[in-house]
Amino acid sequence: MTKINRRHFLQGSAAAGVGLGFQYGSIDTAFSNQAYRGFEDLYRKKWTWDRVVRGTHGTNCAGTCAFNVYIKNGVVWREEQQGQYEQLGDVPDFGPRGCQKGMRHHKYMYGKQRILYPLKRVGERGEGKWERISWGQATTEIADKFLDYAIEYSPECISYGSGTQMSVKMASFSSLLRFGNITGITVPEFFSGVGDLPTGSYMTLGQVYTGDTFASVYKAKCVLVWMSNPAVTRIPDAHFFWEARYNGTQVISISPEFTPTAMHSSLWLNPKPGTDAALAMSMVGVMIDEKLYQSDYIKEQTDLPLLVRTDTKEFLRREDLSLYGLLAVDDNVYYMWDEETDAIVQAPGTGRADKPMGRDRRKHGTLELGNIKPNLEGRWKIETLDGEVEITTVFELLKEECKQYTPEKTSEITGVNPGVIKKTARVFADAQPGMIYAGYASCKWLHGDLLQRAMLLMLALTGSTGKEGGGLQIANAPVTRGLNQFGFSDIGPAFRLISATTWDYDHGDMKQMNEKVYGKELADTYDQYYKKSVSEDWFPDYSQNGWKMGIFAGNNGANWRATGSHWKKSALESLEVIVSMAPDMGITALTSDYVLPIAHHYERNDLMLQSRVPYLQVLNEAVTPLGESVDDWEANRRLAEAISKRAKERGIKPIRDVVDGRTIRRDYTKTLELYTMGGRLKNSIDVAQFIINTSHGLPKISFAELSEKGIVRVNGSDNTMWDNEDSPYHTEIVKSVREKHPYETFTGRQQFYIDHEWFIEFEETLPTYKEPLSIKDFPMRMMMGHARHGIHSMWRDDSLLLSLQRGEPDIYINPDDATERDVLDGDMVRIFNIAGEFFAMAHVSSSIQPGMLFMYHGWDPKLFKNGKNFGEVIPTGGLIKPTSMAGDYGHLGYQPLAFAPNQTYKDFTCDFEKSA
Amino acid sequence: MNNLSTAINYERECNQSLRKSEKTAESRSNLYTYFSLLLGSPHEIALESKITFDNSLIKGLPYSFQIGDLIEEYSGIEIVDLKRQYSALFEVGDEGPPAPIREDLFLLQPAKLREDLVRFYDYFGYTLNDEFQWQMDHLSIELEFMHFLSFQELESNDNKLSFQLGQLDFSKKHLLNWVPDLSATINRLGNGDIYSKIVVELNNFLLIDNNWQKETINNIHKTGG
Ligand code: SF4
Repeated sequence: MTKINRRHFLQGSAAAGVGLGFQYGSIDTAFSNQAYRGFEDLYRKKWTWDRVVRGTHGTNCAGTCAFNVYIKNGVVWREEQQGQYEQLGDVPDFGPRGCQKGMRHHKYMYGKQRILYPLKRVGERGEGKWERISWGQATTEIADKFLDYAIEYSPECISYGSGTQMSVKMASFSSLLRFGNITGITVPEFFSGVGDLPTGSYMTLGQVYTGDTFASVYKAKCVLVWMSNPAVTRIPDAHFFWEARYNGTQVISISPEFTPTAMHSSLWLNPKPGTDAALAMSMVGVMIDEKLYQSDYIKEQTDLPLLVRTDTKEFLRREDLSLYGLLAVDDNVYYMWDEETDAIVQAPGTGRADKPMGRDRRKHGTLELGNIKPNLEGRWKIETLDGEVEITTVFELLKEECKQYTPEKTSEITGVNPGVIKKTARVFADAQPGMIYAGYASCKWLHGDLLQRAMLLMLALTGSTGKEGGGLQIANAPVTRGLNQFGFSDIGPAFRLISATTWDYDHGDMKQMNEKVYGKELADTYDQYYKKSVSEDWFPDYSQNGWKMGIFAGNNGANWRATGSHWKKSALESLEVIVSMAPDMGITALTSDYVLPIAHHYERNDLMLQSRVPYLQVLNEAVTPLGESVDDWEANRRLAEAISKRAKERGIKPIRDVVDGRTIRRDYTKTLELYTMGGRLKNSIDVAQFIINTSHGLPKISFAELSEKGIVRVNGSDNTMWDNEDSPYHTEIVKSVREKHPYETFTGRQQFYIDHEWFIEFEETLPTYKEPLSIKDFPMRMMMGHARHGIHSMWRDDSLLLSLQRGEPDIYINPDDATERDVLDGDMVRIFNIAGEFFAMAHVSSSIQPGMLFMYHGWDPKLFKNGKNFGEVIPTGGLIKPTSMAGDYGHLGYQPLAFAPNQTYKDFTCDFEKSA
Repeated sequence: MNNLSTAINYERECNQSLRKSEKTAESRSNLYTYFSLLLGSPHEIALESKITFDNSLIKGLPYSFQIGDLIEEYSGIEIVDLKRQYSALFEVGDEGPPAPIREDLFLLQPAKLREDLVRFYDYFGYTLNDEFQWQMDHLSIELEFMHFLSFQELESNDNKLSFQLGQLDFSKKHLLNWVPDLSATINRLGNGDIYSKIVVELNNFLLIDNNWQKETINNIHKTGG
C-alpha cells in the first residue's frame, strides 16, 4: 500500500490549485481506483474493527460494568458487554453488566454538549459568550489568579470541588488529592456534600461503610428495599433481587410512590413521604412486644442492656459512682445489671482510657459477656455520688419510646395499615438474616439519621447486622491506603478536606434562607447551635479567609445543590474566578469564567473499584481524547506547571500555611516537581500503577495486563460479603460481630442511645420519628430520585435517551391533585413555593400518592424553560440540625467522610398550577 | 417462464460531451479546495499565509461562479478575529454550537451517518490523518473529499465514471443533506460574519454544481434477471 504524502495546500503565497494536496488526509492508492457504480458498492465491504479495547464508564452509577469498546479509524462506534464475570459460590454471577446509558456512550461522547477546547468567558457570566483559547493561556491566567489569592489571603479561599464521579476514578481522584495536598486548596468532601453520608450509621456503629457486594442480596431471607429503587438506579445488579425472590427471599419495597422496583416485589408498603422512621419504630415495637428479638445478640453487641440514669437521662458512668471516676478521663465506662449477681457490672468492651476512639480500638477489649447475664429489662435504685438514683436499661427506655408507635397510631402517621405493619415486622424478624437495602435517599432527609438509627435497630433486634445476607446495605468504600499514599507522599498530609454543607452555610447566606422559608425561630436556633459547635471547635470554622475562587472538576454543583438557585446567586456567583473542568456543558460550566475540556470515559486511563462488584475495573484510553480534552491527571499537571512557572517568574516566596494546627511550608515554584514526584510520574497510567502497587486488597498486576483483561477479581472476595481483611474494603462491623471487637462508638457497642446534651435536649437520645419540615401554605411534598436515563446530570440531555422519556423534564402528579388544579397529562405546570419556581411537563400518574410530587433528578437547568430547574424550590441547603454538629462525645465530632452534616433535599413543600 | 424474476435495473453513465472533465474537473476541484480552506478551523490549520485568489484556477468552471471577493474579505480579517468568529458560530455555545460545522452534530447524530462517510472515504482511498479522524463529518473535510474526487476525475484514465458518480452520490447523501439547512440556520442567526457569508455562498455553489453534475449523468434502463 503506497501512501501519497500529505502536502499542505498553503505554502508561501500560493493559493489552491497546486494539484492534489490535503489538509486533513492522504490517499491510499490501493483503494483509490476501485470501480464505483452506486452507493451499494460502499456497503459490500465487510465492516471491520481496528481494535477492541476494554473499558467502562467512569461515573458514579456503582456499576463499573466491563465493556468491550469497538474502534475504527480512531472513533468509538459501539460498545458491548464484556460479560466475563464469575460466580461467588452458589450465587448467580455478576454479568453481563450494563445499562442503556453505557450502551449509548459511543454517541454521547461525540454529542453537541461536549466541551472540546479551553474556553474563556467573554460576555457576562452565564450569558453564553465564549472565546476559545489555548491551554497555555488558560492555565497561565488561572495560575496567576490562584497565586494572587493564595498569597494575599490563604489557599483556603480557593476551593476545588469534585463530584462523586471523580471519587470513583482512582487515578483521577488521587491526582486531585495530590494537587490539593501540595497547593493547600480547600476540597469540599462530596459524601455529605451531596447528602449521601449515612450519619445514622456512624452514630450507631461508628462506621459508615457497612455495605457488601450486590450478590449478598441473594443470601438474604428478607430484604426491605427502603427509599431505594434499584430496578431504575442499579440496572446491572437489580437482577439479584429478582433471583433472590425466585430463591424464596421476601423482597419488600417501602416507598411512597409505586416504583418499578415495587412492581416486582413481594409486597409494597407506601408510607406517606418522610414518615418512614415512624414505620420503622412501629416495627421495632412489634418485635419487642411479641418478643421476636435475638436477645443474646443484643445483649452482647448493643447498648440496649446498658444502664441509664432516669433523672439525668445520661448513661450511668464511673464518675457517678466514685471520686476516682470524677478525676479520670475514662468517661466511657458503662454498666449493665447482671442477673446472676443482681448488681451492676462494668460492660465488657467499655472503659478504654484514651479517646477519641481510633481504629485500633478493635484490638483492645472484647464484647464477650463471659459470666455476665445482663438484664434487658428492669428498674433499680442505686446509691451514687448524687445520692440515690433510679437506673434502667436502654432497652426499657426503648420500650417506652415504642409506645408512641403502636401499629394503630403509626397507621395514622404513615397511612400504612396496622396489619401490614405487623405482618412486615414478623416476616422481617422471622428472616435470618434480614437485610435493609436503603438508598442514599435515607440520608437526604433532615432527620435521616433517626431513620437509619431505627433501621439499624430493626437489624440489631433480629441479629442481622454483620451477617452474610443481612445488615444495612448503603455503602462501602476501599480502605484508602493506596490513594492516601499517592496523595500525601513527599510532604505528608497537608490537605484541606472540608464539610461542603458547613462550607456552604458559611459562604452562602444560608441562615437568611432558613429565615425566609422556615421562620426566624428555626433559623436562629439552628444558627445558635451551629456557632456553638464551631466555637467549641467541634467543627471547623471556614468563615475567616473568605471564598475567592472555585475550581469544579467532575462536578455540576450548580445543578444538584440543595438551595441551588440561592447558592448559585449568593455563593457561586460572588466568586471572583470560577473554573470548570468538565467533559460536557452543564450549568456549572456555563456559569464559569474558564472551562477546561476533560476526557470522557473511553479517552482516559484509570482504575475503578466499587464495593458492589468484587472486581477491579480498567478505564482505557481507547481513543485519543477529542479536541483538546485531557484527563484529570493531565489537567492538574498543566495547572501545576503553570503555577510553578508563574511563581518563579513572579518571584513568589514560600508561604506558611496552617492546616489543622500543622504549619506547612508551601513553595509554589515547586508545585509541578512535587505533583509529578520529581518527574517520575508521567501520566495517569503511572498513577494507576502506583495505586495498584500500594493499595490494600488489589492483586498486584501491571496496568498493561489489567488493560488487556478489563477486569480482575479483588482479593478476599470468596463470598458475598466483605468480611475478609485481605479485601480492599471495610470489614470492621463483621469483625465486631464475629470476633467481638468493640465498635468504634463511645460505648464500644452498637449504640442506639446517645446521651450527648444536645441529643437529650432535642429528644433524640433514641431513634424516633420527627415530622419532616413543611413550608406553610404549600401542601405538596416534592420527592426526587435517581433516574433511569441518566447518572446525575450525565446523559440526561442525550437525544436518544430523551426520546425514551417524554423528551423534556416531567413531574409526576397524582390524578386527584391534577384534577383539582385543572391540569391534564402533558400540560406545562409551574411548581412554586416561597423560594422560587420552575416549569415542567405534568406526568399524571396514579403511581404517586395524593399530596406528593415526584421528579427524577439530574435534569440540568439548561433543559428547562427559563433555564431554571427544581433547585429553585428546594430551600434546604441551610438545614443543619444541631445534633449533626455535636462533638466532644466519643465518636461524635467532625470526621470527614464519617460525621458531618449532610446536605439534605427533602424537607420542604411546594404547590403547582397549570401554566400558560 | 421466468418473466416474473426479470427486474429493471438502472445503470448510470456520463455524458462526456457535456462533462468535459479535462476542462471542468480541475477548476471544480480547485473551487472545492477554496471552500474547504475557507471553512477549515483557524485554530487547527496553519494560516500564517493568507489564501490568495487566482481566477485562472477556476477558469474552466462549467458555470459562472464568483468567489474572489469572498476570499479577499476573508483574507483581510485578522486571524484572531477569524478564530473568534469561527468558534462563536461553529464550535461553542451553551446548547452546543449555534451552527455546528459537523454534519453528524448538525443533524443530531442520526444512525449510520458517520459510517456512511467512512465507507465513502475508505472506498475511494481517502485516509484521514489521526488527529482529524473523529471529525470526519467536518464540512471542510467533506469538501476536501469532493476536491479529491473531482481531481481524480481529471487524473484517472480508465475509472473516470467512478469518480463522477462518487461526486454525485456524495453531494446528494451528504453535502446537500445538510448544508442547505446549515445555511438557513445561519441566515436565521443573522450574524453577518465572514463564516456566515462563506456558508451561504457554499450552499449556492453546491446547488449549482450538483445541478450541473446531474445534467451530465444519464440513467440508462437495463433489463436483466
Ligand atoms: S453507565 Fe454505569 S451502569 Fe451503565 S453500563 Fe456504564 S458502568 Fe454500567
